[in-house]
Amino acid sequence: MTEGPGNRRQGKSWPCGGLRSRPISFEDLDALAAGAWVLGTGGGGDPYCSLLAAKQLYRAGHQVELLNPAYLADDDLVAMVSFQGAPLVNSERLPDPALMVKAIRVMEKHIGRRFAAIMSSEIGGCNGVQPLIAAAAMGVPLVDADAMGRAFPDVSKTCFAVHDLRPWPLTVVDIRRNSVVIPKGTDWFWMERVSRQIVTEMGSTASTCKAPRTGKEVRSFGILGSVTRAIRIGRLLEEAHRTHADPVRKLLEAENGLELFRGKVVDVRRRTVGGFLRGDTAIEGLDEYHSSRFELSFQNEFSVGKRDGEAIITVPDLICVLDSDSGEAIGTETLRYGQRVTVIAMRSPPVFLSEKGLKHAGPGAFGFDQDFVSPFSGVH
Amino acid sequence: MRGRQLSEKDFEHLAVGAWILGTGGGGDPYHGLLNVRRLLDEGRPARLVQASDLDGDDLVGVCGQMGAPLVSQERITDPVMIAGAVERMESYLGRQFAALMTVEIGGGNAFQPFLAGAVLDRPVLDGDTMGRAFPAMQHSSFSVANLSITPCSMLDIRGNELLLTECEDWYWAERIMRRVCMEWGNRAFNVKGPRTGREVKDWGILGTVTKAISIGKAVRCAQAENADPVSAVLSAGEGRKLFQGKVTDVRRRMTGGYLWGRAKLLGLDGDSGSRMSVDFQNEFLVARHDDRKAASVPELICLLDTESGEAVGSETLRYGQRVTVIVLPSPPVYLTEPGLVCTGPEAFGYDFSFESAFAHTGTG
Repeated sequence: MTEGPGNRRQGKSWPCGGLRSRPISFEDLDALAAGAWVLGTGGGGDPYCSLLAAKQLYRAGHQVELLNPAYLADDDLVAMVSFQGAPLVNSERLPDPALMVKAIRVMEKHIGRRFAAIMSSEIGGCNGVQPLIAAAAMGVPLVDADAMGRAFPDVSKTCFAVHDLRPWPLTVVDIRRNSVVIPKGTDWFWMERVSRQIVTEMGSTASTCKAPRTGKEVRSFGILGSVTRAIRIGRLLEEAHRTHADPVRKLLEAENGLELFRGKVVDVRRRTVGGFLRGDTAIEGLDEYHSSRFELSFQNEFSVGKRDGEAIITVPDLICVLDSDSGEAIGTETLRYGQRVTVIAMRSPPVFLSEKGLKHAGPGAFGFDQDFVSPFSGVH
Repeated sequence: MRGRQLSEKDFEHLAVGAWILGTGGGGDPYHGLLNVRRLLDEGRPARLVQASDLDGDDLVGVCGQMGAPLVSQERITDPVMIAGAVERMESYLGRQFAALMTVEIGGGNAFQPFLAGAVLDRPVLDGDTMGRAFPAMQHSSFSVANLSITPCSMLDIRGNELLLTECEDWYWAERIMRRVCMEWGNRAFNVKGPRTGREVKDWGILGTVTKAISIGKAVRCAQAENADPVSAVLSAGEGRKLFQGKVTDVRRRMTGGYLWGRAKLLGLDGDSGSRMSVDFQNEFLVARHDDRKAASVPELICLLDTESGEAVGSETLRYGQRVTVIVLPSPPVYLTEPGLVCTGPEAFGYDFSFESAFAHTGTG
């Protein structure tokens, strides 16, 4: 096993071995999108539009190198990019690569340095695919890592926030000629509040470049291998379709997940509060879950799952609702009556399981009067 | 540039005059005055320079605080805040400002460049960009001139900062900065697009600090001599009296970061039996005398306490106050076609065009 110079976390090498980088192929794109949607745990936005934009760039001859984070030099600068805004607006307007690049350029000008690579702040949902668009357009590599290992509604729930890294500066650009830099903020929470207001004023769609991270910070605190993981999940689902295997079963085996429930959606309630999609859904059991009931609460992402009134899983564990047939993810915004679904659980990244991590990303951080419970406690 | 050191007396007069030129908005300059008094006691400079002292390529920083006047009533301004906004902008530009100027002479903002100037030892220009107070930055003379608004720096009391490096236009700058200002609790300190000495000479509204001081001085002298302070304002500001009465009704609502509303007045003395209403968005926008338009933006509609001659703000209006409504002439830049597009009644959503309150009197 060849270890990279700085790869000392998680006790295993980069999933592609000791290679410095490998190209993300055109075929990987579909897999990345499908996997990112699963890791979105209901939120993060459907990666579909980002996938289209990425494919367009690939057809124009671009290709992105996936960089092993172990090969980031200590002082390399990594750009954290994403499109921010309301999912509905972003689904009407394809992400524009030029606009993502502009947010990065404004940041480079502000800090007076060039970025060596691009990275996603959340692998779950469309933000798992978008940074690839920027990387393709700029011709720089995409780091195989993210800051959440899933999707979360705001930046205070990143591994970098849990480790109290600097939350600024941040740049926001829109489709007009408006460019805003937030050179400093009180804390992660205020950076989020202010940037969200700006994005909303700009029409709920804007391109942002968040606090740059050094190579050392990414290696030390980032959630490594998440792009590869998303591609792996996507490929596994494709493979299961092709071979008529049970995709949910394959996914659980490969990712050490647990099946929590299977049934059909009988109720969905959604409301948009403070820029978040909040609500809950009820699923009535089928087969071995017959006469049992599962309730899920969500805030953009699925946050708390209760079986017959008893909470059995909460954030930061990953709660995914999959189409029982195809294994594809179902988002909180696309849930509807009658869908046959399977609820599965995957382990939270370890960073969120510390006391501090749970303060940032546990059920309390989402306003639930509920302690963290995990179906993995006691499971080895 | 040395400039003229202003005295504490000058600032007392400035506070009175600026509050009148605020046309109801801009916030009561009282807190600014308290701050300047303390800074003068500490021996800090407060130098006033003229536009003619500037070189064409000197850079001038345009300072202001943004937010709702009501909030500034609750929280005294800290001079370090506006000085911080100036410093951020200077470090962004990599150049020091030759002088500072206020975005608006009306209200508390008249004091902001003096606060920053005292902390950082920079002279203050005798002029502003509105000749009064207006609710939004697109109402400034530099906006009428279509000069660039960027870069803008803005900060709050918690260590949050903002830098606008490029902007569609003045309206978008206002939208974005207002939105952030609201999120910060409706109080922010900013420095807008740096101006060259040339631009200031061509498009600034000059001499307004001196003008505010002279109006304030006229009020104070009249008070001391038991003369009519309202007449003193009219004569110092070349204005016209519209109405005298008492406040019978005030409606206010705080929406979208502005204080909106309407005050109703019942006539007294010579105006007995008639009524006046005054609309405001932070500043007084339109005055109607018995449902006839009597005055509108961009001319200055000022409500004065009939007894003292001092200004009454849109946030301090209340039932029973004896007030005199006067109108002062608009800076000429707003009476041009682009000026009226930026600041005429239509710019505030009214469906009528500007007519001067001085049109029939020959004094305008």
